[in-house]
Amino acid sequence: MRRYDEDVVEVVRGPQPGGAGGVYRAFGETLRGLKTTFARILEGPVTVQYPEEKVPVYPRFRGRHKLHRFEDTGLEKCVGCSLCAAACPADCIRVVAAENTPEHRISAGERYAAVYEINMSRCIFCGYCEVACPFDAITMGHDYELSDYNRSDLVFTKEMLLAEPLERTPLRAEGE
Amino acid sequence: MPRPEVRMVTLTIDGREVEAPENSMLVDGAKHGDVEIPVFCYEPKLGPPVGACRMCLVEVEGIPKLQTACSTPVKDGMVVHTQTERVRKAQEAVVEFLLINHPLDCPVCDKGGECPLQDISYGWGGGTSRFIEPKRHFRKPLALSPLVAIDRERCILCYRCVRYSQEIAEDYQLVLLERGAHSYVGTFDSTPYVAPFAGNIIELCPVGALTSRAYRFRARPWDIEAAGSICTLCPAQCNISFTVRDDRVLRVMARDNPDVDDGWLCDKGRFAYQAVHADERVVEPMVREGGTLRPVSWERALDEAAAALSRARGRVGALAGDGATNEEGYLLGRLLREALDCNDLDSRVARGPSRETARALSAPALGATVPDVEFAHAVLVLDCEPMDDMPILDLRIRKGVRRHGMRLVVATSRPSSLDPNAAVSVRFAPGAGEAFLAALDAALAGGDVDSAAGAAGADPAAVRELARLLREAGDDVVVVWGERLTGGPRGEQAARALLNVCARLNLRRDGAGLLEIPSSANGRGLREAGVLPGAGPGWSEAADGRDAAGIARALAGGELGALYLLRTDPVRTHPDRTVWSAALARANAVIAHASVLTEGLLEHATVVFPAESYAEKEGTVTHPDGRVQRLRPAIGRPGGVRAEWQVLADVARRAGLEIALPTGAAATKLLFEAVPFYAGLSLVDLAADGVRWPERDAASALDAPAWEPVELERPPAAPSPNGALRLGTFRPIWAAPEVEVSPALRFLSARARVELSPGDARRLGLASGARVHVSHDGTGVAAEVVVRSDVPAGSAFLHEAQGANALSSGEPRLVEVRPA
Amino acid sequence: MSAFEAEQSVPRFAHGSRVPGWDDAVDVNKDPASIPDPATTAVPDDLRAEIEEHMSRYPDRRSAAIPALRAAQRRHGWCSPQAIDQVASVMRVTPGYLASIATFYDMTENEPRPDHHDVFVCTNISCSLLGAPDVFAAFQEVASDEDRIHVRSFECLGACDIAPMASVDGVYVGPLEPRDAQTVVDDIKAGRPVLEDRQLARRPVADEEARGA
Repeated sequence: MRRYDEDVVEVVRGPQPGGAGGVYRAFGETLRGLKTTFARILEGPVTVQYPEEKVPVYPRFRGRHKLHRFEDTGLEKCVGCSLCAAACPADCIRVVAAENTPEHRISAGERYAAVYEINMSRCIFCGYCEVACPFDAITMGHDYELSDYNRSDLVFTKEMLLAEPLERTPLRAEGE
Repeated sequence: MPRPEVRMVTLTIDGREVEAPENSMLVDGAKHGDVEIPVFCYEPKLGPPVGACRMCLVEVEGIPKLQTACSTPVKDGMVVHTQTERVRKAQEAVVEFLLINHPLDCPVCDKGGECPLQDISYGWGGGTSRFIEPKRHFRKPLALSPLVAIDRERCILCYRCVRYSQEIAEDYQLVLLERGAHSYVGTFDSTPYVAPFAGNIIELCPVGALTSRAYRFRARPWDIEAAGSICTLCPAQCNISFTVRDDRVLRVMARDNPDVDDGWLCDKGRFAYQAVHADERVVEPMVREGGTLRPVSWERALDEAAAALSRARGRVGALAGDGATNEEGYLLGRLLREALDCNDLDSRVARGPSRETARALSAPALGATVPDVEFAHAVLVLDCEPMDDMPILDLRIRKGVRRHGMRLVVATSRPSSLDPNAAVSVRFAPGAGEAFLAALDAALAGGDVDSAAGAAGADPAAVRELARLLREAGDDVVVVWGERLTGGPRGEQAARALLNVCARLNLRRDGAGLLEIPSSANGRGLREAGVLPGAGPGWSEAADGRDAAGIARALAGGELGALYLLRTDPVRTHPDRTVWSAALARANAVIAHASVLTEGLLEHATVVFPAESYAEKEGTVTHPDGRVQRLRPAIGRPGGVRAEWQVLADVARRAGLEIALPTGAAATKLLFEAVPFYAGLSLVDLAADGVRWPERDAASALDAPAWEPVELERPPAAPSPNGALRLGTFRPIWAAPEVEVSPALRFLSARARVELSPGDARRLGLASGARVHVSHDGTGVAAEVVVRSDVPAGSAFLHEAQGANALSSGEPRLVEVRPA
Repeated sequence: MSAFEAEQSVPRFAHGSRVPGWDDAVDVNKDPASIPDPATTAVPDDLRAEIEEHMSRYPDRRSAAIPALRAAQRRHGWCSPQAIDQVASVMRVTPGYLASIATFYDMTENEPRPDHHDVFVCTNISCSLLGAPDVFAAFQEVASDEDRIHVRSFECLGACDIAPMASVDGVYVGPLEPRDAQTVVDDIKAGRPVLEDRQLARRPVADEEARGA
């Protein structure tokens, strides 16, 4: 049989209503709050009028991924090794590799990524793919505006990731 | 030699007492104490260790220098240290040396993620390298064969592939060229390494130096799933593991089962998975409309099939073959016998011995296992070519000869690839197996050898020598024989002669016996499931019916109206192609389960059900040595393919026989209940390695009394050539529809060739490569001549490919060979 | 066209660790090199007889591989694919087995060297003590412009009694001095017997009794 009087917790209550304590409870705390309000009222509004206005991000902000090419040859840096897919904790990267031929050379190595897809609706933007990449082929960009009307549209293909992204997100300036 | 007895010894490894089998190597012994010693070159399957890579150095008390654990046998009381500073430094140094010239291209390397060198570098390497000079660079990838790519930058010269080629496959094609630091793996004069078992080097390579060209860059180890099943492309029924990605089979690897395949695969088994996803594959039911096969709905196809079968009730024949499972065979038997009142069904290509004799031949006491072949005192290879008929057995026989001193004797009509390993080889005329056995029986019993040997066209002295060897080699004798020996009109007599020989050699004992290579992948299972005229499930008595040849004649003569083909095309595989063509043309309905439309089906099938591939199938098959093995689906069925047990049950229901089959496992249950000696088996028991039913108690259901030698009939003499040539046919390993539709293997698909002896070729004025016409009684096939000095004069051997079965029949024949 | 068929240029480092053969792919259109069938491989009768004679001397026929290759090399000038095929056909081994032996050993030639002369200068201990390094240097200098004369140092040739010595196309000559190098090269070019008076074959037997006999 369980007894209910064994684990009684004592609750310490504030001053009872009435008297000086009651007055403080009624006005003191309220005035303390209003003090902050009136002190900031001259500073003007801090609300960011998104989407007309955007919050700048830090340089190491982890937004939408980018795939890169070599600047001199134009070849893709990605060799389709799938290490990003292995590192991905959300399992949102899919890589299907294929072999380069002299007539059809895509990347610098023997293999290239024939299919490279990131499912942005599952991505948690942890940046492990960037860490895993042995060729610096994938980096996290700054873009965070990824919403869409269809889930399937959130699967980014290699062409989308390789394309120069619309730089819609302002970068926080030095010291800002 | 009989299996050696294993004695356990006690040794100390890293301070703990370990029991290990005596004379096992330290690497293996350490595993008994859960101690892992890293290795590259050591692979027990390759035979004695070579100690080439030095990765396994350990400290043994009492020996001043570090020892290679792979080549140091364990001894009682040995004290071994694997974790000392000395050992660690030595192992780090070895890894550092190996990595000096090994490129750091793991991201593009196919082995990345499943690479022993990666694992060992992480586990036992120092993590840094003092080598700052540039590494060597070479052209890569290079082709080693159309199937294998070689990357010599990555090679660490562990010799595994070279040892495999020399000691396991014994093809001696892959060798180490040059010397010292210049050594490299290659072949003679830039010839490709193409051999029936060449693909195994891909799995053996501990780095990414040898990679499969078919699997190149297809997937990473973390992208894939492994699905264990059985390869049903030939009777060897090797245990395999499918590599699956996105519901596609990308690779086949060996699933080591020492009782079946010893961990090797042939190239057909390794690469013919491509047929599963081939464009040529039938994935929808089809019905012939206006002369051509058109895709239709399942309902329509099933209705048409059932209607055609019901119309021909009592006049339906059926054939089963290839990868049909035991369950499908059993259901086919019920469909024919119970729903359609027919008894004309066969799973063999030619009439075999009577039910009584066949039961005696498959008696559990007389059965040999695959490992028995390795450990026997002597093995007789009789009228079969293991390399072509059951490839993996060929490796097992070679292993027995090489490692266990087994004496091999070969008695075939065509020169065998095992001849160089044989103590005695005897040639007899094609189709004269019965006469040879009569001669052998006489030699063993001390009778008149000469007349029977004369009838067989064999050398009596060689037969006597062979008999002497079988008698004197030891008690354990295994006879490996091919189904063709007992096929044909005199199959009964040949089987009796074989039983006589068994009785005289006293083969009813453990470690000895018969091992039959059936002509189709699940030949034994289908027979035991009752796909035979005159024998029901479990060799039970059944009303007699027509055999395959009889079905052909009856169809051609109009006595049978419909034919049910379960995964077989008689026009392609059965003897007497012309008779079968005529039979199929005359049949009112030909209902076929097929995955590829081979010529007979393309022209004559009226309803085609898409067949499952072996990667999609579930059910059981029976290995030639009686091991019941389980097929598990690795991928989903493509398109409209349905399970074949379900199709058979649906057809049966429409034909009036209700078989309650909610699942595939229910079909297996029905089978196990119907076959007395499978009684009590369950799919769970078969899960990993299968179960050999002759070793179970239920096997007594098939026990036959010991055979008493009988007086043999005088065998008919082989036809004397008289200017013509005796025709022998054989089916090369590559003669299979799966090979033809697999892009990687297509270059190997069998061509029509005829092998002639040098004397006959000279007489006919033919040289290797000449186009000829091989004919008998007006029917003929075109072929290309191959002159082989081993071929006995007076015989011509035709590869069974591209219509060569037009010439073969159950009986010995003479043919003419003329320039085309 | 896949990467396998394509000829690729490979960047190499200046110090050049290139090894011959490593860059060679196989010709996938060739037939695999199994044991050549005697019926289709023509072997000169005398070569066959010589190889079979060598094979008969050993319990394992493969032991005769080296003398058999030497015999084929004498006949063909080098261990050509055809020569190896012929030996393989007689010995019933694969050409690959023989190729691994032929490329392993120094005195089997793997490339045609028509009309060439070998000068092996012994630099092992006895010869070395008597000035072999100078002799070798002299030979190298004299023969440096001669394409057809191939000079190399050699470990002991087993003729210490005429040290320092050299083997010129198998003919042992010695003792040599550095200035003999020019004479040897001249003799080779002129097709004369080399240093006739100092050939080991012509040297009188030292043993008085044996000489008298």
